This record gives sequence, structure tokens and C-alpha cells, in this order.
Amino acid sequence: MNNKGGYSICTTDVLVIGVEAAGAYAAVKASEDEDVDVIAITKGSDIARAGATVTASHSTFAVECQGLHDLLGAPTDTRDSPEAFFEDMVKEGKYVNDQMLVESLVRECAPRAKEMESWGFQWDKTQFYASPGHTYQREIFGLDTSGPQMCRVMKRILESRPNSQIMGNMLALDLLTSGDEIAGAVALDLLTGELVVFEAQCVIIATGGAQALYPYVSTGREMTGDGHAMAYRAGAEFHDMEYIQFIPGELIWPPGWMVGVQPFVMFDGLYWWYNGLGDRFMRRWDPMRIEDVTRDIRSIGVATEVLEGRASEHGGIYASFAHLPSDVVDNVGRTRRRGWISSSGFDYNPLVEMMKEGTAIELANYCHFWMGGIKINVDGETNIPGLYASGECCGGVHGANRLSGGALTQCIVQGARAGIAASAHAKKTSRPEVDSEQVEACRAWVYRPLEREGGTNPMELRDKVTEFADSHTGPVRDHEMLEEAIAEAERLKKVELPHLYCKTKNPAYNLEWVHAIQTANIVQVMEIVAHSALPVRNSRGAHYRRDYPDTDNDNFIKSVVAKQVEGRCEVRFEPVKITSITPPKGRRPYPG
Amino acid sequence: MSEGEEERDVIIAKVLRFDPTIDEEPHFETYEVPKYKVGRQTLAKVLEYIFESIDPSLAYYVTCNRALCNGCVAMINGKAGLLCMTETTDEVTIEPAANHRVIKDLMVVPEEEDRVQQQVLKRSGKSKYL
Repeated sequence: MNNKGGYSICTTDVLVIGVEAAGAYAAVKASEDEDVDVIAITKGSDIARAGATVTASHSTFAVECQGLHDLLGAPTDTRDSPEAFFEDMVKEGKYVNDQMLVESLVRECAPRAKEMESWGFQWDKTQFYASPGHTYQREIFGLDTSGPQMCRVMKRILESRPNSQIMGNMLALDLLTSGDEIAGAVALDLLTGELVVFEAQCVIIATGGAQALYPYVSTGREMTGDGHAMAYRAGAEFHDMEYIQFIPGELIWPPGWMVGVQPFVMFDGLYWWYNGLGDRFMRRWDPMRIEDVTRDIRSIGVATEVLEGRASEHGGIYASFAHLPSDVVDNVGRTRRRGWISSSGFDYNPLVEMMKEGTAIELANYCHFWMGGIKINVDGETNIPGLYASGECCGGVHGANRLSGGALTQCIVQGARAGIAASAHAKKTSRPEVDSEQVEACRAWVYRPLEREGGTNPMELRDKVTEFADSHTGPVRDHEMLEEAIAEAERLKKVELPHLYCKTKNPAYNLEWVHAIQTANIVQVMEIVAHSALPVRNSRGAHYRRDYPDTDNDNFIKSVVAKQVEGRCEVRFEPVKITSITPPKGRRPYPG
Repeated sequence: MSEGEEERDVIIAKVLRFDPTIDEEPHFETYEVPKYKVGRQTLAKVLEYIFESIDPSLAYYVTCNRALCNGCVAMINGKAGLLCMTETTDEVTIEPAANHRVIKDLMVVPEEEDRVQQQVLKRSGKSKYL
């Protein structure tokens, strides 16, 4: 195998990077025009074999009830409307949402849901939910699953069209530009270890969040912000990267359950939490509701105990049923459809038995969702002509806190918008010339870990970075931590990343090499997060500053925009885009 | 466990290794993986340990970790199963899924999807930048 060898060139009109909910929807819409060729690449082995959508099996789509009723014929609460949904999103987003993006989401969610039905997606029109923050029961499930079913529907459409193609095992590395415009992207064919150059007038990034910057994730561990990193290097702007959603749902002890335990074992209000000193610490955050508060406050309460040295034995907090008689726990189990067995077959009975005997389990925060991301307008356009983005990799629509059901809805609305806009743009522009120097520059950095004879182990560096990110850019931050995070990101880029080294030299399906590339990406994301969070000297939604614990509506109803300028991350404030809800004034103790 | 026998503190994992770019034939390698004293040790965790602490050349595929993507299908003690869902036994044999093209070790691609993708890559031109 010759690492210096040639590479394949694939030519297309629209290249989509990431093919789960947002990317697949974008690819379907872009390829509706049969004159437009679309290639959709994923680093997973296939659609729905990587990313967050597949883990959203029992997640909801939030769709305003009027539309659910009129378009889908669902028996819903007709007091709801796009306006009511809009108000909930902006209020719970703590007034920093881009209201133009919210308008688009609340008005287009129902037509998109109807469109999915016309493609064969089956909705469960019998149950509707209202998670905290939703005034009406507007959360709706897919009939068997939500995310995986959606991916199956999209895959069928994309495979049936002659002008669209899904390519798996393609790890996108860098965007290519020609002058100010996008010219395509370079990817690594993981199966062969060779580069593939995609020449395209339009690129849509739909790579999801960067959960893997943190030690625990509610998604797959491959969510490494690849799209963020390549967009940043190409000069794209980022929007409110300081808002990241965490949930204390990772079961860290006993080991091995691997998935978030919260939905399966834990009923809200059923369990009590203790810190390492045996103190029911959530009383300090809310003496009345204690553990039964919203997710942002829970994650901030847990992070505070860990940061201040009061963690449980394995670095989290204790959760216990010990205050409950065991027959009460048994009765709770009986009221559940599948007892203590999860939807995908995980059997939590051994854990419940252990807890009934009085042993606590240990929980930690996992990274669940990224509210911040690439800055887009309603059509998914970025500041780079030809570069589009959609879904979780984009910022703005959720503000400082996302409501349940908002993620999949964001994917279908923004995916469609970006797909339609990119398709139209591709038709009226000619394909720019790819600059071979950019391809060579990409090749140079990407192959270096294989060429070095010694250096830093990618997995060890990844563990160091995630541990550092958790303690410096987690739910709780202060000025010193963020300054340290900026310095550490610079040090990592200068000192550690240039020494990443793979013991395994064969480039074909070399996981060590994949980790090296991904670790560089999470470092890049950490730098953007730290720079974005530093000037936001108040606490709001998912961003808690222990040095500025108040929510300051007089000075910080602002959007933070970050961008690479001459090798440095520059941050500026912009006014929040407001269409109909004027944010409140004044300063209040968190949560505002 | 018979009387007098001490409980083992390692798992013996036999993994079928095959790198088509180097090896002529697949071969088994045997690894000793520390056994959890408490908790639930899935084969995904066993393979992760081998990859991160013993042999980084191992190729395998695990993502969702909750039996949703079916990406981690493999032959486990001779039967098809998911690595993320299957708890390990004291001795376990792991081989790649049947009816798939083996890329390397346990990493496989379904024959049909592989065929389509290879066609696209073949249609595409080779580099003009060389």
C-alpha cells in the first residue's frame, strides 16, 4: 500500500457530509431535482450506523398540534399553534435563540412531518407528550422507532434515485475552497486508507454535535465534531458554542451497562441523590423540588459536587432507592410495560435488585446535545458561498437550552431547507476548480501519524483531552477554567497533536489512525467552546459561570459569533435576531 | 466452578484476525482481558480493552452500544449476535459476521452495498494531481 499514491475523484453537484436525520433529509430534498447529482457520505459503515439519530430510537419529534391535527389527522390539543410553540422555544431557550430559525422550525415542522408520512414513515398518532417546557402535548413518536425508522425511509429513497448515492466508511477530513467559494471536500476511504476528493459546487455539513469532547456521551463515541473542525478551518462562523446540554444519566458504577441509565431505571422523583459526603446536595439548588428539577439545573448541581471535591468513589454522585420499601420498587416495575427491561432488550433487573438491597449506583453527566454550532440562516447558508449546514452541527435555533423533541424536528426542517437551497445553488453555479495544493496540504497532515516512528498514543491523548474538557468546559465554568482551556487547546495544537503517532502502519481500516484524526477535531472544538464561553459573564441555560451566577438580561441577551482569523479564534457579540418576542430586562439569580 | 477452584480474574478471548492486505489466511489470536468483579461486561467492552490496551491493530465496529444500529454483528461462539448486547463468558470466541466481505478482522461490509460503492469509486477518475 502506497500512502503517497493517487486518489479517487468523485464529481457531484451537492456533497452531503453525515447521513443521518439532517443529512439524509437534505440529500433527499437536494436530489428531488433529477438534474442535480448528490453524494452523501458518512464515516459510519452505512446510514444509521453512526451518529446520534440512530440512538434517538425512542425520542420524539416536537410538532405544533394545529399542524398535527390538520395535516396528520392526529387527535391533538388544538389550543396549540405555531405561535405557542415559538413562545415555548424562545422562553426555554432563555431568549438567545435566533428567532428567524425558530419561526422556520415551528411553521415547517408539520408540513415536513406530513411529507415524511408520504414517504412511508409511520407516526404513532395515539400518544402525545409534553416534556418540561412544552405547554401542550406536541411530542410525537415514530410507530416502531423514531430515528432508525426515519433512516430506513431515507435510505430507501436515496437508493432508488439514479442521481443520489450514499457512501459509507468515508471520513470527511477537510473542505476545499476556490477563492471565497466552496469547491468540495477531501475524505478518507476508511476501508482502503486512501483519499477521495469530492468535487462539488455545494457541500452540506450535517455531522451532528461534538459529544465525544467529553468522557461520557449519550450518543455513539464517534461524534467528534469533524464537521465543526473542518468548517472552522475553512473560515466558517460559529454561533453560541458555549451552550452544551448535559444530563446526569451515565451509569459509571457498577460498570458495563454502557448506555444512559436514566430513561430505563430512574423515574424522576423516585430516587435520591447524594454526594461523596452523604449529603443530598440538590437541596442547595432547590429546597422544594430537590432532584426533581430540569435537566440543566441537575447537570450543574452534579458538576458542582464533582468540581468541588465531593464526588462519589468513581467520580460522580450516588443515586439510591434505599428510602423506598422494596415492595414499592416492585410495584413501580409492574406498572411499566416491559418491567425493568429497556426497549432494545437491556435487562436492568440485576441493577434494580442491587438497589433494592440498599446499594447506591453512581451517575455522572453525559454530553447529550449541542445547542451551539455552525452559524446559518434559515436556508442553511453559512458565511462561505456554497457551504451549507443543517441539524445539530448548527447553532441558534435552541438558544441556551433545547426542549425535548426539538432535535429531530430541527433535523427535518433544516435538512429540507439546506437540501433545497443547495440544490438550487448548485444548478446555477459551475463547479469550481479544485486547488491541488489544498489536497496535498490535507494529505500531509492526515498521513503524518502513520509516518512517525514514535510519539503520542491517540487514545491516551483522547482520554486526557476529554478529562480536561470535562473539568474546564463542562456545565460549570469560570474565568480561570476557560483561560486554562484556551491555553491547553493552544498547547495541544502546538505540542501534542504534531506528535500523534500510530503503531499500526497499515492504512486500511486503521482505527488507531481514525482516533488520531478525531482527537485533533475535538481539540479544535474545545478551543471554540472555551473562546465562546469566556466573554459570556453570566449564567444562562446550559452555561453556568460560578464567577457570574446571575442571569443578566441587560448585558447578555446576545449571540456569540466565533471564527478563525489568521490562525486565532476571534469572538464577537452580535444582537440576537428577534422577530416577535422581546426578551425581558433585569438581572436574576440563575436559572433566571 | 468446582470446589477448590479459584474464580478466574481474566477472560480468555479468541478473536479471528485477518488483514487481507497482509495475511494469506485468517488466524485466531488469544487475549487475556481483566474480568470485571462487578457489573456487566459486554463483548464490546472486551474488544475495546484489547484495542486500547493490548493491540491497536484490531479492527472492529461498535457505535450505538444499545442494539439499535446492528453495526456490531459478529459470530459469537459460533452464533450470530451483537457485540454491544452480549455479556462475555469466561472463554469466548469472536469471528466476523457471515455473508459479509471482511475488510479487516471483525470489520465487515454487506456484499451488496459494497458492490454499489465500489462501482461509484471505479466510475470516478483517478487523481489528475499526480
